[in-house]
Amino acid sequence: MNSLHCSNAITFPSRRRFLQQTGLGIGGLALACLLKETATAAGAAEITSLAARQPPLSAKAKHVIHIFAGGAPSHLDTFDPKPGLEKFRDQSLPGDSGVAFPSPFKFPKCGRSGLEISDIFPKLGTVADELCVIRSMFTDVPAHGAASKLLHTGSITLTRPSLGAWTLYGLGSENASLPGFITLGGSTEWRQAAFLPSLFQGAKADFAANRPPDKVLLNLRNEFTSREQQRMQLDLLHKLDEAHMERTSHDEQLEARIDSFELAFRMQSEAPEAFDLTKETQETRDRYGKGDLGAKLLCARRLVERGVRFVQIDAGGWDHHQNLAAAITRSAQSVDQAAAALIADLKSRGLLESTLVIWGGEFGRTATTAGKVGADSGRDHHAKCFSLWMAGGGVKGGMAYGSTDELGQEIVQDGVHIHDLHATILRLLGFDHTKLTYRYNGRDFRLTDNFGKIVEPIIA
Amino acid sequence: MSKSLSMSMKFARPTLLLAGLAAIGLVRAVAAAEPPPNRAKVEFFETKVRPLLAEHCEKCHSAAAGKSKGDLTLDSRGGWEHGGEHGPAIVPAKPDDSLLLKAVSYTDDELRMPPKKEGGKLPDADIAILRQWIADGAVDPRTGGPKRLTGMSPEARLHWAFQPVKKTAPPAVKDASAVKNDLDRFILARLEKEHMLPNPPASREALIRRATYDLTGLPPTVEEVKDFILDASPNAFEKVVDRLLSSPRYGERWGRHWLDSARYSDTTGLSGDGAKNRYQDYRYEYAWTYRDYVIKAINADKPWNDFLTEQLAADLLPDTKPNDPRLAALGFLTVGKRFDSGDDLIDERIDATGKAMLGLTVACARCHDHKFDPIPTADYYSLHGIFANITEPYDQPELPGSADPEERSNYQFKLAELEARNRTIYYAFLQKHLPEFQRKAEGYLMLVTKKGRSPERQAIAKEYGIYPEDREIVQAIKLDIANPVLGPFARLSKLSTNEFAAKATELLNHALLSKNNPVNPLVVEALSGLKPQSLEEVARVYGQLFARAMANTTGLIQTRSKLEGTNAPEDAAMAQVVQTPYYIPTAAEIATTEKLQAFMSGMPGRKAWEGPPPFEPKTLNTFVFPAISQLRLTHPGAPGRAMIVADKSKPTDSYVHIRGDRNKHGPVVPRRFLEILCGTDRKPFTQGSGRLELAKAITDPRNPLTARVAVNRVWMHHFGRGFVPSPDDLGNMSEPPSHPELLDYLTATFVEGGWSMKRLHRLIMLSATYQQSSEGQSDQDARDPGNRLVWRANLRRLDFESIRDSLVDLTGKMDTTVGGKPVNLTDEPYSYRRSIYGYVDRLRLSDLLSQFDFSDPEMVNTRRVSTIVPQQALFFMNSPMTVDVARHVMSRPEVDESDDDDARITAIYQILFQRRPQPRELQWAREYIDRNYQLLYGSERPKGPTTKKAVFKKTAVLKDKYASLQNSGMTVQRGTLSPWESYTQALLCSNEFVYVY
Repeated sequence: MNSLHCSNAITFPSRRRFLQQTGLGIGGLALACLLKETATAAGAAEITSLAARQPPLSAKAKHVIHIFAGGAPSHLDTFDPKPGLEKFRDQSLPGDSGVAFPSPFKFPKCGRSGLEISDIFPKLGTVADELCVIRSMFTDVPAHGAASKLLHTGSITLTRPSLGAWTLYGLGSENASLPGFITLGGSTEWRQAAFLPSLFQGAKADFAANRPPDKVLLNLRNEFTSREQQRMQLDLLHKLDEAHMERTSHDEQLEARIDSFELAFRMQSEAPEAFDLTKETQETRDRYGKGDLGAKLLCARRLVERGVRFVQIDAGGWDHHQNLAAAITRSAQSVDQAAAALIADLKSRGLLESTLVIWGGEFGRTATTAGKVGADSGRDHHAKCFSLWMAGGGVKGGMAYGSTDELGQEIVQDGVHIHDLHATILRLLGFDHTKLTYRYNGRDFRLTDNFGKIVEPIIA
Repeated sequence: MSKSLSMSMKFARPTLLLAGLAAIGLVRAVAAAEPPPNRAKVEFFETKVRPLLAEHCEKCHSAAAGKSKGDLTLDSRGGWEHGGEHGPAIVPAKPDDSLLLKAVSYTDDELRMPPKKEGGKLPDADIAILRQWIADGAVDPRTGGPKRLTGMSPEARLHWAFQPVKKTAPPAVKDASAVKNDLDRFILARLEKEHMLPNPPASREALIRRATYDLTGLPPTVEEVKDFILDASPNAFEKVVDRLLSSPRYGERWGRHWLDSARYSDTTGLSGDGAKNRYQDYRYEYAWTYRDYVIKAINADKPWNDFLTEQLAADLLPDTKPNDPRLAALGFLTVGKRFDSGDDLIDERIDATGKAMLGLTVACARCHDHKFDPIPTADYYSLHGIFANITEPYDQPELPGSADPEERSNYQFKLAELEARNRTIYYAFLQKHLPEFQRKAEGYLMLVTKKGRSPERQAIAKEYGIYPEDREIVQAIKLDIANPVLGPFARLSKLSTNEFAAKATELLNHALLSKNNPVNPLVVEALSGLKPQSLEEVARVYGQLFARAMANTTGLIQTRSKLEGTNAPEDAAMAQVVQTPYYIPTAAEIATTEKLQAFMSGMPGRKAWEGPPPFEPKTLNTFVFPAISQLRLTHPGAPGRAMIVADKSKPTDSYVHIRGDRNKHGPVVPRRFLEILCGTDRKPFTQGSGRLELAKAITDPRNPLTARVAVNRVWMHHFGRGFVPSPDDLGNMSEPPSHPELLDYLTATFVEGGWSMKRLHRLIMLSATYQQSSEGQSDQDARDPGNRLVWRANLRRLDFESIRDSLVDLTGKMDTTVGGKPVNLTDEPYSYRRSIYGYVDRLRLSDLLSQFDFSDPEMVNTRRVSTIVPQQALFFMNSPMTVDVARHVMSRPEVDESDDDDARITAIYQILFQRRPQPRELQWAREYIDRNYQLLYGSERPKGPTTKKAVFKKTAVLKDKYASLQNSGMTVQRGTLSPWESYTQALLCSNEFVYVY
């Protein structure tokens, strides 16, 4: 098979030959069915497929669970302790408005690594040795919309393929009965394929713990025919389509479309099963907690287990301009237990090594508050530094990378821009970010535009 | 060579790129030999200069390392000779003229190298070395050079698409028996050269189905197929083509193709959530009038050159009348994606015009000369100048006949209600905020003299009890010395605390007497004689004045808010005080939505303090602009309006934005067309913005691209693939055409024929080439699997619109009205309009549309891809839409009333596939019905018809706020399908239904 970076499309002369060459069984047949021609003309020109493929570089991560903490969590109260702020309490800081607002939280040393994590994350502290915290993230603008878009797509304003779409484009899917890139919440802009073929677009899953699992994906539920009746329909369809091919031609598009109905039929049973948390033991469900995010992260684990490449979860609510102490504690509670359970669960199932878990927001927050430090104090937007963590997928655990100044407002060492993060994620998945390209409108595009530097020290 | 070249590329993909470049001859020859330089100087370079460059510069400026910041490389002589985006880095022997020396000397704020983070300024000794080296002639023995990508090379200009269209005589062919017209000779000659044969003609059933889908996007009717099969006349197919070309369905099909090129959408692409200054809905209220213009123009076979001209400059044509329907054509410019920045909007329009009309990626030259095509940045800014001189008037001309006259007054009534609500909201804001300011004026005035969230400001806020600050008040207070009320305070506020007591009195007296900035008499009265020791003292006096004005506030607002006007006299001086910090518009000034929007957008020419309040999103969101858009988009009595543009009264040229940065001025360039397409003797445009001149240049028959692009697209839509496979880019990065002579032959014929699309369709469709069958031939498949040589017809999956339209057609309920307001395509209750009338949301393209590869309206995307994913199958199997169709088919009389199985199956086949079922298909159908009956009812199926007609129930209201364009009608009833219904639905899933061959 051609490696990805030689061409913007996987090309092979025919589906059958492809299957012969790769020796794929039934699953492979199903996957290879998801063919897509980049030209409307027939023939074997450029064919892009969802078939699983090896990345060009060796890598551990095969799946990604991206937990997007939208609203921009304060790094100063979560993963970047700044005891030095205390001595400036209520004083104005040079070059900044407001007064210094030291974090009301403690940062115990957690795990064998002694990673300092705010005590609003007691459970996450128990998996500290799996976490790789980047304390020197930075981004371009302190505005939610633009910065979120940058984090998800590498562009502030333009419509560009999302990280998940690039991942699926690069790696293909491991399970044809489920979409390869699934989003649980979040904006359309964060899951789009943009100029990549639409089969790489994130499928929106309308998931919630108490929602019927067959209503999670568009057109998944059939309200008109029983399963047996539909099986009869497909058996009839198969005969009709075979007869049609006899009359016209044995074109691979026609074959692919025949297969797509079988896949869809399977998806109807397998997708709801994947979204059905009642299949988990009560003990497991308890471990993830009762909250919405607990359900979503457990669902993410079930999806990854079934070969879904990229699961993106919207876990927002971190825009704490006021009443930070109380509000951020609540936000932390919503994810603390669930994320800790996810990491532990993935690990116990041997999936952590191949699954990259990412948690973080779109930027950070100021060291100052308006008015005077008190219970109603909050922090404003700050793009010059923030924290984010990753776990599994070939990153080093129990470490903090990069550092900010005494006030947590400027990076002093090892800054990591969003483009650098993207380059690193792609590297963890086995790609050179400068070579994972797609030709569109007369030039080659990549996730990192013409930026991005891999953060080597965090790769195990 | 290969390394440096590929590494210097922004988007390097070495193998492919190199091959491409070699093929198009972009690689520059190595410079000719030079005389040997002085040995001592070489020595100096090697020992002193080279290490310096390597250590301090090449981290970012090295072709070998793949780093060329600012496009500059310094690891070769050619690197600095050619220089970066500011030009050559070194002028030998002239250190003071050399940018490199300027940069390392740190004399220019903008250009300082090495930058701080790379170590900062070099030691003086090193700078001296560089200076000496340059002064001595900058001897540099290093060879090689920056083989940078550039479209500026002579080779790039030789690209076929920039050469004039050449009409060659159709070539001779050995076997002319298959030739129907000259087009075939080009195809056949090429095939004969490869010892290949064209396919035999397609069957008549296949041919009429292909032609009908191609021209109308719909299947033929049973009668049409029968008539064609039975028509023995030699011009039977010609008659079919002519019939289809004259059908209004033709414009609906080919109009949609152009809308893909025109990145048509009903929304702006800006967020729907009220961001700042969004006093307009995120939806376009009238995009559909542009869509309808396109359909009508194409149905009328408007000459393509006129069609393009009107889309750029309909308002500037000599015979355009005020309510000319052609004005709607300007939607081409206005229905694109919107941005917060003006330059981005201009860029969007340049990009759309370039790709849609010229098949050229002009917008690539925004920040640097085009990397592949001969478009210098200067030419980009020549076009920038044209589009920068466009405005969009709020008053858009109403298009005659676009509203239902009977519904008109109801619409006007509802609109007036909403507009009155907007005014009420506006005045209520003033009624709340003016007194709020007046009460706390003293504090607010002091507050705004301090920055942001400074402790001083916090202290003031605390002292005056202003917490939280009302941003809508704070932002409104403009400390402008010209302001007749606040002017004196503004002047005094500039004094520092220390000098205040000493200087304030004189400054105040001076201010009060100012002729240039006359002060309000009440303010003069209040401040006269004051010898202020502190600014607080002045603020206190103002505070008292505003407190006094409070009593007049409600009265003034009431007077001004009367739509019918009033004769009540206003005390001008007091009114001015009352209107601080907000101007109170008269009802007439904000009477209509357009007037209000224009007012809120900050009309030019108004004084700063007579503008709108700085509304925060929370306030903006209370206005009912979305409801007004909703009304205009849905009410049958709402007229359509043309989304026009107009020229600015005093057009100006643009300067080059260096690196795309508007703050870095390059030379001013005249407004004019691209040099590569119109020659070096081009003239600057002089009429207004120059749009009409631009349109003329684009449609000039000597322009080598416009007509070729049009013809290439028509070919693509008929055959599934263009001569050039990238319809929006015929530049150096495109594949060469499969049949260059034929492309030129058709292009020349097209232009000679008056740019008539319909003639072009006839020419193509009446060829033997078009009428071939689609069957594969194993040996030829092996030799030309992509069918580049067109030896057969291509098997093609229907696109989204054709699939949905075919489904709608089957219901027998299709609404065939041409034109109208947009409908919801995907949600229940379903519309029975054709898909081209669907509402397209740029930012939130419906999942169903994306699943079926709808054109992304983000930008020009003329080519549809065709993917196959299980989600498409789920749509056919499970969506209420296919169920609805199946039920409708079953309730059609010829099906419902047929009295035996075979007759009914045959009727269904005729409706779906326009053919009779084969015996085995009849048998499968009977078996299916029997078994299905058994399954559903647990008993043998009795003889005779069992279907009952489709039943519908009332709809529920949709909750999704973005699916707000809900259709009226009924949702599809849930519940098990009867055997016959599920049988029909299965047929809808079949390949036969969605493939043209």
